[in-house]
Amino acid sequence: MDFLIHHMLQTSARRSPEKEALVHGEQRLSYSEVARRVVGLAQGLRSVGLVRGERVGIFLEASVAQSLSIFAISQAGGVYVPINSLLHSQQVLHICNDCQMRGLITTPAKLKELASVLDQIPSLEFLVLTQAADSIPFRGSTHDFESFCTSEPVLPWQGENIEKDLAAILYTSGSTGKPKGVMLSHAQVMAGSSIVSTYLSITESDRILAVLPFSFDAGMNQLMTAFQQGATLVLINFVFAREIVQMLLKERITGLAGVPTVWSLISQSNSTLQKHTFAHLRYITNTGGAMPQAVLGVLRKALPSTKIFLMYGLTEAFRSTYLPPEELDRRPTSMGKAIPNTEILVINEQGKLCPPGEPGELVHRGPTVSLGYWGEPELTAKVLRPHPLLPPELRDGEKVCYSGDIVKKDDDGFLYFIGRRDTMIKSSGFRISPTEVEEVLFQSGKLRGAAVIGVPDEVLGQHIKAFVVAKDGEALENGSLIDFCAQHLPRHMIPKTVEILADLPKTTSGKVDYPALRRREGF
Amino acid sequence: MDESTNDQIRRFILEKFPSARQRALQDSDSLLQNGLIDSMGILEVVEFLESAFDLQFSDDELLPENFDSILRLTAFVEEKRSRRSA
Repeated sequence: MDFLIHHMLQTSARRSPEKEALVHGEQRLSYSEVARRVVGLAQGLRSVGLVRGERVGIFLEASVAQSLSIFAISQAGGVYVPINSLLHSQQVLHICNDCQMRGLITTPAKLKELASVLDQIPSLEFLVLTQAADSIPFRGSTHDFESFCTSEPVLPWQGENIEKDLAAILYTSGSTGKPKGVMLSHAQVMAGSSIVSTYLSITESDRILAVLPFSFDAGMNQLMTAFQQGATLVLINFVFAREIVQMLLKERITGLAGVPTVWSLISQSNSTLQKHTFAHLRYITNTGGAMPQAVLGVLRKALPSTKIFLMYGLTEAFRSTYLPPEELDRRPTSMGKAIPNTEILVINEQGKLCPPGEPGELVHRGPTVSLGYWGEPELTAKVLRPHPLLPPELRDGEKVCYSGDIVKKDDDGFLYFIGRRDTMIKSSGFRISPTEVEEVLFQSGKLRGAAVIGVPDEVLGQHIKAFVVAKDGEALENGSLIDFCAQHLPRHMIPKTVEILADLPKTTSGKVDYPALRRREGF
Repeated sequence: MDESTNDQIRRFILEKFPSARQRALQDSDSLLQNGLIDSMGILEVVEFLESAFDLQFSDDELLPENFDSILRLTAFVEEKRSRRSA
């Protein structure tokens, strides 16, 4: 019985050892090769002292090493924490300290980026590097990834974990503060994988191209569904959208998951999508924001035999809804209905079920509801709450996830996204907290006011606009503020425009009036 | 005197991608490694080159090897221009 993440890999390796599991450039690994390397790596992690439940960060770009690390940390009984490779040292530092990371798997080049913060992570005791490096500015021990992977397996140890144990922490942003770690158990990750495999009909004959980062739940699910079903996963590092198109052809890809930005890039004329036919491409999925209708039109025309699934999910509940492809003509703007084995409720302010047409909060019930935010019981209690409609005798039995997304249902039960309850921004698939950007703006030392909003953007979903008020006597320049942000924030968090105001609009209670700022922008 | 192709490209890159300035980017440094310019950024670079140098790129010229550094970009643009004037 498979109840831990690495069991899925072991089962696939037993069933079809020679089957191609993982492809990246020239590297091609079969399931038995992947499984063997994962055992070696897991053994290595144990040998350097990793204890059940301890967190290990993976700070790598899309690579074979990144995939192996996820399964090896699971097999060693640890908790894997994928860190987006675009993050700057300060954000990585936050993640490492927030989850009291014990070990970190990375490359020498990425380690160099972290050189100035490494000694500020007291919990960090070991590094595993994918290549040899000289002069490592680290007080703990350093180990070689490759030697671990190729080490001879000693006796197989019996892990103590069960499916309820913590498997992964995925960092994501909310409307305020620094990124928070969403905790997922083995059972939750595997339920997400089974559910998505079911409605996408993923089988071992599929060849899935992974373009989304594994630090993002939908990205990680590409790896999980592929390994659970014994399919092939193809990894890619791309800059030009046409590289994705070429890979679809070269590797005869059958499934591709993207976010709106990926689809916008791919539907540009220079991506060459329109010049080819994709007989192998069975399905594509969109998540992380609504697909612009114009882009959807281009894709439907260029991919006439490919099924298009519009999906919706939030990390706190992993995956929530999808629109079956046959509904695309009738309801192209719908986010669909609940995924299998999941119930989606639309709940109004009074805690009652909304009738069709009435906007309310999307509340998710099912096996993929996460364990909440690492080290944040109060925040968790706001998002994961007792089921509002169960009889009181049952209520403590399970938690449902309050998404913060306002939606409505039509008469047939299909859902439509209306907006956020809070000020969270979503840009190119990333969740961005306005306060995190505002905090960096304040660090410039030139401001007495700063407020950041998301402005609708054809390609990004939203882009960031900052409104700032200068301190008395400070001469402000928009360009230098954007520069300052670029030094401290990854690219997706940098404001595209900065507008200097004499004062920020305030509510009667003295808080920044974000709706007024949005109205100022005409929406 | 006109600003050289190289200077124009460098000025654009440094202006548009502040982290390039922060890292004191050299003309030969990779733009595509370490996420300095991502797939969104590359669209802006293409747009800039086409309008600033009055060029039209065909699909098969949009390759990482033509875009990986300020030097390569300069060489690519100058080659395109010389082919046009020839």
